[in-house]
Formats: sequence, structure tokens, C-alpha cells
Amino acid sequence: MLTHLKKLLSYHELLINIALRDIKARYKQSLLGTTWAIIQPLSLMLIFTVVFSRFLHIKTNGTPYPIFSYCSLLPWSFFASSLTFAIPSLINNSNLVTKIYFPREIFPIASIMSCFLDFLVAGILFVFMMFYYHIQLSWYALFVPFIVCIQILFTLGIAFFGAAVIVFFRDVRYIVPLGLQLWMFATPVVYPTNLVPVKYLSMYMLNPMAGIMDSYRQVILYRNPPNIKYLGTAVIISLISFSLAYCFFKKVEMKFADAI
Amino acid sequence: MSKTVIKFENVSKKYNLGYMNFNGFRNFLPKIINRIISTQNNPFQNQTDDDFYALKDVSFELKQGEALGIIGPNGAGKSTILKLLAHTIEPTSGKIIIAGKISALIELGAGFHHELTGRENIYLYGSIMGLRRREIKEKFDSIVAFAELEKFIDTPVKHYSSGMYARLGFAVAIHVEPDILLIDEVLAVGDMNFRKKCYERLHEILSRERTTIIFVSHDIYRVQALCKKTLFLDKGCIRKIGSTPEVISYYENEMNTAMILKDPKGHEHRWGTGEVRITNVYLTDSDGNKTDVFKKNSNMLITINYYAAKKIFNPDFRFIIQTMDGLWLICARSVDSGKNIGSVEGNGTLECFFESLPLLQNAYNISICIGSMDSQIDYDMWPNAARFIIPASTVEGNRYLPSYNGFICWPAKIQHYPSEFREKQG
Repeated sequence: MLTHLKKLLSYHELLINIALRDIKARYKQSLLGTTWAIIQPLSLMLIFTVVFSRFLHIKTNGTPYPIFSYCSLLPWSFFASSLTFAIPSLINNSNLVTKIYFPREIFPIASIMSCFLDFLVAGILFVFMMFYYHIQLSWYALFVPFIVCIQILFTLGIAFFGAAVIVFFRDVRYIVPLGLQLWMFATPVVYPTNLVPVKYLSMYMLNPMAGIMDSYRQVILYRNPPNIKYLGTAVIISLISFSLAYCFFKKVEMKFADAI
Repeated sequence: MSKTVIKFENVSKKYNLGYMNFNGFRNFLPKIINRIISTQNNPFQNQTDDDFYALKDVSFELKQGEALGIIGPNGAGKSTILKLLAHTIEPTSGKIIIAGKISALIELGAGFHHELTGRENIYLYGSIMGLRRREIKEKFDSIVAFAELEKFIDTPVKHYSSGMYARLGFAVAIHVEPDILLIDEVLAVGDMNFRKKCYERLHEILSRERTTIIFVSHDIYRVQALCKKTLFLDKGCIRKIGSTPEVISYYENEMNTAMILKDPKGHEHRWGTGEVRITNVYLTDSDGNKTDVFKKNSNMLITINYYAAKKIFNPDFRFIIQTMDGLWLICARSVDSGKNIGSVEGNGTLECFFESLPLLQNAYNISICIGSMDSQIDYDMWPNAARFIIPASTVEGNRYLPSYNGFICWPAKIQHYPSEFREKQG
């Protein structure tokens, strides 16, 4: 795996160029351009605020619901859009896959990189909201970059696996949006973790996204350290799934051009 | 001594035709797991009828600075070789050794994104081809100048014409300066001037003797012009490899024989008003025997029978001798023979005699047309009504004389004046 990573590193310029292409191409000929990166999580936040806060009166431990949900909708959107773009990235670039060789993982990675930019743009709004709601940060907020890294690692694992499998089975195309929808409700994105019944909690936390989302809230909104048990589980599962997926991806890589 | 840069050792590539046809769910899971995980030469994978060899036991090697042409009918495995060289697929068995950076000119502009501008695409495509950003920057002006796109460089390429698209793609690829350049029938696009420029550039690259070129084409004239060495591929196997004139003449002979055996006379594209119809065509040699094999400089008599349904005044009979790919070599018209045919009605016969036909070894088609004098009406146009070959063995000395030397033999006197001789005279 290390030799693969080393080789990948030597292709960093190509990676950046393909990521730039994805970003530029996505917002060309659109009026609002990158603003869409904000509109997406923002509109989700508004609808969930109405439903969960006004209709269902979900308790969020004193945090205003808009910022409570935006805090997790933001990384969740990053996760969801990353997979939406990264998984079909190989088949969308089939003309390159069949013609020229370079490490194929460049395509899913570039997709995730371009989504990361959207994530940063949408993050600006979050900063404004923090001022608006007078959220004070603690030193624990320094955990955020680390949590983001774990999230990206986990995303990469799923993306590698999905991108490799979709080459052979296009069914994945239909599984992705459905799976993401179900997954969101299995993750504390629009509700707090403490609403989950305790007897299910250990199973619930096997989902790395659950630990990751919970940690974001703990370190940003509640000025707490992240729950080591939850985040630790997420780290371990992310590492394992990334390694397995990457090895699998490299193993079947040379069959892509034949099957695509 | 230049070094070997490409080496194929007994390379085979096997495909399974039923690759994605999983009939029923019974063997679905074991099959897919086996397919995806299986390494090459899996002993448990039984041979089935679905197996198809795109390449079988292919071996060859190329030295630095050489150009290899790959020719062969469709489905011969030419593109498979390119894909193996570009390392997008792996051989089922055998070994491929490649020393150096490869640039593939397969399908020009495959790496372009149509929403991006020409400028952005140059950077993108360049990096796909393995150039560093700094290198692209240095070559940028030269690329744009070569593509002749100065005015449109900041326009999204989706607004480009297909010729502009191809020009940009070729310009980038040619500036990569790879060790090995793969070219696949891409130069068919673009106008004549640009094509000429491309070939000039390729010749220039070859003259530097650093870049090895692999050129896949159906255009044997181009292969002859560019490559000293040629590989004739058929059904995944090497039929012949060696010097280009030798391989090409072998190839033409093979293809022509195959064509004559397969389809002696074509009716499918015949057209015309039908007022006069050709009912029969045959060729005879000097001895009066019907044949379709002729010697060089032998006489040929084309005889046709026709039937005119109504009286037609002064029709024009045309006999066209063409190369296999449709180039007109000779068009003999009854109008030009000085004598008018007069009016035709009912059955009749017409002969066209060629004395010592000056054609070189190859296969040729004869198309026959009966039309009006002013060429406004075609009564009967029968493309490829007859076919004949001048086989290699009948050319004197049994020397290889492929169409490399043209189609027509014409006696010429060639004299040499060494420089001292001229000085003395001057």
C-alpha cells in the first residue's frame, strides 16, 4: 500500500489539475456559481429547523436548532456530495480510463477534493452563524481539523470501494442516493446523539459517521473534549475500511479498462 | 547501438465474451467473486467457448527511434496492442517490457473537458500526458501556435469545431516529447493542411531518432511513408513482421485475394434509371480466355452485354478502373473514342480493349456506367462490376513491388550527371 501511495504522490500535479477541472466544470455556466455550495446545506437546515424544532420540538441541550443542525449538516453534505461525485468518477471518465494510464484513485480523490472546497465555502456561513448565536469556542475546537481528516479518510475508503464496484455493476448508481438518505437518519445529523436509546448505542456507534458527527458538536458547540470511545471507534473503523478498500481498488484496478 | 525500448514476449490477451452475462442467480455470486478477485491464469477457471483471444502469442521488439506501423483488418487486435502499451489493460499471459515515458495519441482530445477553455484544457491534457506545470507553461505558446488557435484560446472547447478540437489535441500530444508515441488513426480528422503539418512534425520527431513511434492505421500509404518496419496483424496473431514494403505487399496480396474470394461482384450499390441495363460482364486476356488474373503489361478485354428497354440515342459507356479503396485510375469513355455509339435498343454487346495495361501488382475494381452524353442521366451505374488482380509473382524478377511504388508502371529514362561532369561542361 505504501508503494501505491508513493506513486500517487508523484502524480500530485495531475491530481490537482483534475480536481481543478471538476471544480471549474461544475460551476461553469451557472449564475450563482459557488454560492450553490452554501445554498444546499442552508436550505436543508431551514427545512429541518421547521420540522424538528418547530413541529417536533427536539431538545438540543440549549443550542439553537439552526446552528445545532448546520454544524452537522455541513460535514454531512461534504460526505454525501463526495460520495455522489467520487463513486461514479471512474465511469464518468471512461474515455481516459481506457486510453491512458495513471493511478486510477486520482479520479475519486479529485472528486473529494473538489467537494472539500465546497465544504470550506459553506463553512464561511457557519462562522457567521457562530457570531450571530454568540457561540464561544474553546481550545477543544482545535480537534476539528483532526476530525475532518478522519472523515476524509472514511470517505476515501467508501469512495474507493464504490468507484471500483460500480465499474462492474452499475447498480451502485442507484444504491448511492438511497443509501445516503438512509445513512443520514442513522447518523446524528438532525437530532442529538442522546436521543438514541442506550441499549442500541454501542451498535449505533459502529457507524463511524455517528462518532464523527457527535465529535464535531462536542468540540464546537458544547466546548467538550470529543467522546474518546465514539471517536476512537470511528478512527479504527475508518483506518481499517480505508486500507481494505484501497487494497481492493488497486487489486482490481487493471480490470477497469476491460470492464468499463 | 540504440537500446530496446519495447519488448513483447508471447503476449496474449483473452476476453470472455459472456463477461457480464450472468444467466440466472444460481452461479451469480461465485462467478462475480471469481471474476473480480481471480488472478491471471487461474487454474480453476475452466476454458469455455466464450473465450476469445484478442491477441495470441505476440512477440516483437522495437529499438529507440524506430517507427512501427501496425496494419490489419478490423478486429485484428491493433487497438489491444495500443492499450497494452498504454498500460490501461494487462496481458492474460506473456510479458511486456517498456522503457520510457509513453504518450498516447489515441482519440484526440479524449482528455478534454468541453466546458473548459482551450487554455485550461491545455494544462489539463498536458498533465494527463505527464507534463509538469512548468513544462506546459514553457511550451504553451508553441502549442497554441501549432494548433493555430490564438484567437480562440479562451473560448470553451465545446464551441470548437471538430477540426479545432483535433488540432488542439494533437498540438499538446506532440509537445509532450515522449520516449514512445502511440498513434491510432487519429489524424483522419483535421483539414489537409493541418494533416500535412502533423505528418511533417512526426517525420521531424523521427529524424531525431529519440522517439519510438507506433502507428496504427488502415491507411497503408501513410504507414509506408512513416514507418520502416510494419507488423501485419490478423485475428490476434502476427501474420508477418518486417520491413514495410515487404509486409505491405504481403498484406495487400492477402487482403485482395480474400476480397476476391469473398465477394466477386458487388450488386448492392448499383443505381440508375434502368432504361439500359448491363446484363453481363467478363474479362478476357490476350488468348481469349476468361480470367480475372492478369500479367503486368498484358492486354485486357472487357466485354459487356446490355439490354435497352427503349430506344436510347447515343449513350455514353464508361469503364472505370479503380484501386480497392476507390481511387479512379483510368476512366475510358465511349464518347472520347471518337466514334458515336449511335442508338441502342434491345440486346447488344460492347467491348472495351486495353492494350498492355500499365498497372503494377495489386487488385483493381472495374466500375461500369451507362449514362447520357451530357452525364446528366445514369441509366445504369454498376460499381465494382468486375475485379481483377495482378499478382506479385507476375512482376518480373519476383521483386516485391507494392503500391509503395504507385499503381502504374511507366517506362522512364533516368540519367545521372555527377558534379565534376557538370563543371566540365559549364
